[in-house]
Amino acid sequence: MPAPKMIFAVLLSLATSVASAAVPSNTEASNTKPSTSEQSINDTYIQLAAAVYEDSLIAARELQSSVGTLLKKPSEKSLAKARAAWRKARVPYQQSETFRFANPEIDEWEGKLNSWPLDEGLIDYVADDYFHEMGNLGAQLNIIANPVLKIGGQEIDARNITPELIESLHEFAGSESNVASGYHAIEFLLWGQDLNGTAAGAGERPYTDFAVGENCTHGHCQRRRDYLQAATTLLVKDLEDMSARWQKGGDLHAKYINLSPEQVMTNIVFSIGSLSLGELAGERMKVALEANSTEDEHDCFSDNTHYSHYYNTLGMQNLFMGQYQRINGDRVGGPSLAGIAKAKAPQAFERLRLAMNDSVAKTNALVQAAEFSQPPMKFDQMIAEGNSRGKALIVDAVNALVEQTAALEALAKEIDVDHSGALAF
Amino acid sequence: MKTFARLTLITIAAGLLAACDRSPEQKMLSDTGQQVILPLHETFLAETLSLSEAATQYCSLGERSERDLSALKDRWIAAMNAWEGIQGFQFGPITEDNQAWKVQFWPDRKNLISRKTEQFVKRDSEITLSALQQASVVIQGLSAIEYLLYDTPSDRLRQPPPSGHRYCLHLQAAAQNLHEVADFLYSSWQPAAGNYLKTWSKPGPDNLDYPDQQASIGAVIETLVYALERIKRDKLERPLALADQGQANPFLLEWWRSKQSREAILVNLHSLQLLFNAGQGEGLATLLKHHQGETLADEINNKFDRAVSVTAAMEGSLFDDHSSSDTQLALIQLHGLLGELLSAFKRDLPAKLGITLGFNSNDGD
Repeated sequence: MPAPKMIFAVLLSLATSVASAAVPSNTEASNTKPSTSEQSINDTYIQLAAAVYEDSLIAARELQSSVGTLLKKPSEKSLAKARAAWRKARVPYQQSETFRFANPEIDEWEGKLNSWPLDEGLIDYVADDYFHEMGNLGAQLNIIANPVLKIGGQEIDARNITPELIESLHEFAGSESNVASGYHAIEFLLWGQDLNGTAAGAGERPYTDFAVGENCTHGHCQRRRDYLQAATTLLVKDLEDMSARWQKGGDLHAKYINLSPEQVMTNIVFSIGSLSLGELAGERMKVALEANSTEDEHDCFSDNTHYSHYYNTLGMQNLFMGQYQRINGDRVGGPSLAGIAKAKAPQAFERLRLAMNDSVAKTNALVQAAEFSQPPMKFDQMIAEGNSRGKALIVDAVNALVEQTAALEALAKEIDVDHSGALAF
Repeated sequence: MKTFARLTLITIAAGLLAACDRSPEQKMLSDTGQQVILPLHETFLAETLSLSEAATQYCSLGERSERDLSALKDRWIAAMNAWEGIQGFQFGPITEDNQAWKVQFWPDRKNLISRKTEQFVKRDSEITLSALQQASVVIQGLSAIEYLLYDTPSDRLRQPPPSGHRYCLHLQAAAQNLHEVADFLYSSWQPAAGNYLKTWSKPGPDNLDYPDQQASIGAVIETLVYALERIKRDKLERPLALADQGQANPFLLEWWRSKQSREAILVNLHSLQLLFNAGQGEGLATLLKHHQGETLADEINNKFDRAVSVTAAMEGSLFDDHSSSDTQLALIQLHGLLGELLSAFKRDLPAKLGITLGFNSNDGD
C-alpha cells in the first residue's frame, strides 16, 4: 500500500514504430479470437492466480488454527507456533503480489490485507517514544484499551471487537497509516513493537499479553485476544473471497477467459514492471536504506522482511515463466510469456531470464544473511548507518531489480507489447 | 589515394549538410538543453552557493536579530525554488546515486527529519560535512535546513552564540552538502565537464543510453509526466484528500513547516511549461507542430497558463487555508487541469510523436 514516494531511477523504453504507439484501451477486451497456442497463456494466468490465492487461504487457515491454540492455552510455545504459522502464511501471499498491479480488482482489495507501514498505536499499547504519522487522528486511539473510541467529538462503540468493527476502522479518518486489519496488524499483535532499532532483535511481546485473569500483562487481555481472533478471521474471509474470484464462476476467472492474449501479455509486463521497480526496489528497499529508517521496513515487527522480498521476486519470475510451486510441493504451470518471448525474441528473452535469475539470487542473499549467517543480519540491521556489508546486499538486490525492469522493457519492445496501455490514470 | 580523397570529400560534405539541415528533433533537443536544462541547473547552483554563504555568515554573527534569521530564510526559499525547477527530472545526473533524496526527503510521514536531526546534533561526535554525508539522507539537504530554520531549533538559532551552536554546525554542513550536490548536477551536464548534455542530445546507434532520437525526446516527456503526477497525487490529493472522502492531513504537504507548498507548485508548473516550449526556442511544442499537432500544443500551453493562474490566485498558504471555500474551488480546478495535462502527455502527445513511455517509480501503488 502507499508509502512515501521518492524520486527513483526511471527507465524508458521507446518503440520505434509509429504503429506500436497507438495506445489500446485497457478496459475493454478485444474481440479478436485468440489462436489456440496463445489462448493457453490466459489459462496459465488463471491457474497460477487461483493456486497462489488458494495457497494463501490454506496458509491463513493454518494461522487461524494456531491462533486458536494460542488463545486456548497461551504459552511461549503456542505463541512461537502462531508466529511460525504467520511466517508460513506470508510465503504464498508475497508470491501473489505480482498479480496486483495490472488488476484494479485486486489492488483495491489488497489494502486491508497488506497495508504498511502502520501507526500501531491505533490498535494496542506502544512505547513512550512511539513515532506516528503527523496529523493522524487515529495514531494513538488504542482500540484494545478503549471500548468507546472518542475522536473529534464523535464516539464509536467498540465494545465488541468483531471482524466488522475492524473492517470499519481500517484507514480510519482517511489515513493510510491507520491499518486495522491484515497481515501487519496480526504481525503486530503476535510480536509487538520492535524496539531494537537497527540492533539485533524483533518485537518481544510476551505470551502473557494473551493470558486470561491474573497473569494478564499490559492490561485488556480479553480485548487483545478478541482483536487477534477477529483480525485472523477477517484475513481468512478476505482470502476466501479472492480465492473464489479466480475459480470457475468467479469474476476474475471470467475476465481472464475473455481478455485477448495480447492484453494478458500486456498485464504481465505491466504488473512485473510495477512491482519490480517502483514498489519493491523503490518503496520497500531503497527508501528504508537511504533514510536508514526502520519505520519503512516491510515486516518490521517480526523481522521477516528478507523473506517477503524474496517471495515477491519469486512471484514475478513465476508469472513470467508460467510456473508456480504450491505450498504442498505440487507444481502447476503452462504456456507462458517466456515461451512466446523465447520463440519471438530469443536474445531479449535470454537477457530477461538471466536478470530474473539474478534478482532471485540477490534477494535470496538477503535471506541467507538474515537466517543462516553467523551472527544473522536482519533487514533492519542491514539498513543501519555505516553498515557497508548490509548496504551492499540491499544495493545489489535493488540493482538486479532495476536491470530486470530494463530487460523487461526491452523485451516488451521486441515483441510489440505496449504496456503503457495498461497504465491506469 | 584517390579513393581516400573522394571518401573524405563525401564525409565532409555529409557533415556540412547535417550541420545546415538540422532536423526538428535535433533542434528540439538542442534548444531544450541550452535554453532550459542548463539554465535551470545553473540557477540551482547559484542559489545553493548563496544559501551556503548566508548560513556561514549567519552562524558567525555575535548578535542575531529576527531580521538576520528572516534574511537567511529568504536564501533558503530561493534555493528551494531553484530546486523545484529541476525536481521532476527523470534523466541525467539527478537520477544517479540518489541525488534527489539528498536534497529533499518528502513526504516524511513519521517525522524522521526531526528525529534524525535531533539524534545527529545530540550525539557525541563532531559535526562535519563528511559526518553528515555518512548519515541518513533525510538530514542532508533542504528538508533538514527547513526543519532547523522553521521548527523548534529556530529559537535556539535566534539566540546569540553559543546557543544553538551544534544546530548551526548542522545548518552549515547541510547547506554545503546541498551546494556540492548542485555542483555535481551542474557540472555533469556541462560540456566542459561530464557533458551529459551531449550524451542526451546526440542520440545514435553508438549511444548506449539514447540509441535513437525518440529515446531522448521520450526522456523529456517522461519528466513532464512524472512531475505532473507528483503534483497531482503527492502535492495535492494525498495531503488534501482531494480524490477521496478522507480527511486532509496538511503535514503531508511538501513544505508544511515553511508554508511554501503552493509556491513550490507554481515553480513546478512554470518550469514544466518552459521545458515543453524549450523557453523561447523550438521545443516539444514546436515538434508537435511538425507532426500535425498544433492544436494539441496550443491546448497544452493553454492548460499550463490556466493552472499557473489558478495557483497564483489562491490566497494564503495551503497549510493554513486549504479548507477555505475559495481555495477548495481553486484546488478542484487545478486538480482537473493537471488530470487533463497528464492525459495529454501520457496519451495524446506520445501517440502523435510515435513514442512509448516506460515504467517510472510512480508505478506501483
